[in-house]
Amino acid sequence: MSFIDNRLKPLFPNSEFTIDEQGIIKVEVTVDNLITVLTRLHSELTFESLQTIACADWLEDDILHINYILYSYTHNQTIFVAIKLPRELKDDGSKRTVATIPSVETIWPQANPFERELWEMFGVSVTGHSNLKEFFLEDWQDIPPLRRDFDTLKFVNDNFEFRPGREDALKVSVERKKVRERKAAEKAAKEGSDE
Amino acid sequence: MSRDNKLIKIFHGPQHPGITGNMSVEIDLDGETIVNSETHVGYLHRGFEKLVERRTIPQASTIVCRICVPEPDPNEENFARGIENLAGIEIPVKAKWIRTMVLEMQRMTAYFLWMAGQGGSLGLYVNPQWSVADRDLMLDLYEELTGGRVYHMYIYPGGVRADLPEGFLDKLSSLLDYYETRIPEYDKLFFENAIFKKRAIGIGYVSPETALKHGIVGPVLRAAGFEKDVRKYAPYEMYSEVEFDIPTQSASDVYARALVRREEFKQSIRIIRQVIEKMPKDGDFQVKLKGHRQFKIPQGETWVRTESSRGEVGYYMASDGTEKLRRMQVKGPSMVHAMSLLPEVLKGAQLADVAMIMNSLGTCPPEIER
Repeated sequence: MSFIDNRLKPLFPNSEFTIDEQGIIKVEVTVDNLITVLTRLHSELTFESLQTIACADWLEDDILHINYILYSYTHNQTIFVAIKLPRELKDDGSKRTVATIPSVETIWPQANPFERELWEMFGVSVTGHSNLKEFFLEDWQDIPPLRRDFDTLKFVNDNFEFRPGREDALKVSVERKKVRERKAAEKAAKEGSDE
Repeated sequence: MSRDNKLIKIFHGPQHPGITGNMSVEIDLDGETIVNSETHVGYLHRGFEKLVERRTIPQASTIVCRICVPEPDPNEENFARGIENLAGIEIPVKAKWIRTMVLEMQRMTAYFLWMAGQGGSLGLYVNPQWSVADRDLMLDLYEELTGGRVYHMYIYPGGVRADLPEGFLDKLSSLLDYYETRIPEYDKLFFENAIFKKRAIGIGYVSPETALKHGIVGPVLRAAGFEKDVRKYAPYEMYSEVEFDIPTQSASDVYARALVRREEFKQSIRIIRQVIEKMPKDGDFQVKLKGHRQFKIPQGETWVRTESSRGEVGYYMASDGTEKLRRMQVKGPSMVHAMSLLPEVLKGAQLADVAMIMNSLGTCPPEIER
């Protein structure tokens, strides 16, 4: 706690810091404040390393929860700087969010691939990024695939053919049912004999 | 670039013997000198992060080890420890010792594979032959311990999957004796090889400022003079109970990184010897997850880190309280080393050194794409 009280609170008096059992400090900021907070953490509190930018899609709350995970070798502290971004996509067919996040590439060069991945996999609009183009995927027309509403099963059914099984292959569901029935019968018999 | 020369664009990979896996480097060449380069990935995207979202813990644990082919165990351990953090599970002491041992065994096999690649990238083909053969002896032990040679699926949330077989520690101990006798041989063949020195010294320089700025980890960071190791600054499993040193170098070139890895190999032997000595004879090796296949992961988010042979591997995990993780994000060292550092290091290098530099940065493409 002392790190929060001594170092973080004086710098950011209006922010709420929490710490979990693993000692990870968490703070939530608005998108507008993001660059200011990250820059100050980097330059004034020596959080040298941006470990990753992790994004989780909370479909039911209609938000993308984006965590900037920073680590400081000097203080041996990890901090999650979280922002919440509305999931809503633009209606111009670009499949990118209406809300945008600023790129942090100028602070940490390794943010470049992280943000490229966010842009591709979650459809997050990033401003000020130098190299926003396809990363893992090729000619992707569907909604960004790591979003929760992307239906993987439907995608597979639409794009690939299932291999026909061997002719003598048994149906798993039927076999499973048989095993269950046999086990239930054995159990019933055992209980009967116990009584 | 002189006025008469035209830049030539070539693709180094994805099908190239000198590449560390399925990725490619697009290179602009002026004669033999690299002017510009860009890394391309996407040849190996298997969508593990998406797959894990649709799978329960026993199902997902068979996937995570496949994230990095040469070194699966740090991934297994990270996944297991992440689940344990979320669920607040305390695992038995014996399981922690076994995990420490398995991770160090893995580090040694990974270094053998690195040595094979580094030798291969120079045309020193005796090196791959020796080190792959030596690595195989460790794989034999893995087979005895876990049933698998490359992918083990042994470290499981709640502990490890099975107890140590009888006489396992003695076999491991005698294998370590053998490895110790091999180190001078490798010195003669590789580390003190005049050709290797001539090729490697001064090549692939990463300045300490670049290393910090780019968030470089592992042997590359240590070869730049930083004494940083997750096992020391955020000890997990039983690393706080064993003694070991963090080797560093200051030259920060391909040769310095090779020396760091050589020393770490020796430190691994030292750690395993301590583990063998301190391994509890009895005790549980796992705690059962409540509900097993229907185990519900409590809601929350966490970040776990392991030191692999290439550096820090981190997992971000978020759970919504169901049997399946809401999100698991993998961040391996290769993501930074190959994507943002490699183009910078390659500037001004010679075409013939690309494979060597890439190998010494420790890139593992499956880890970039997942």
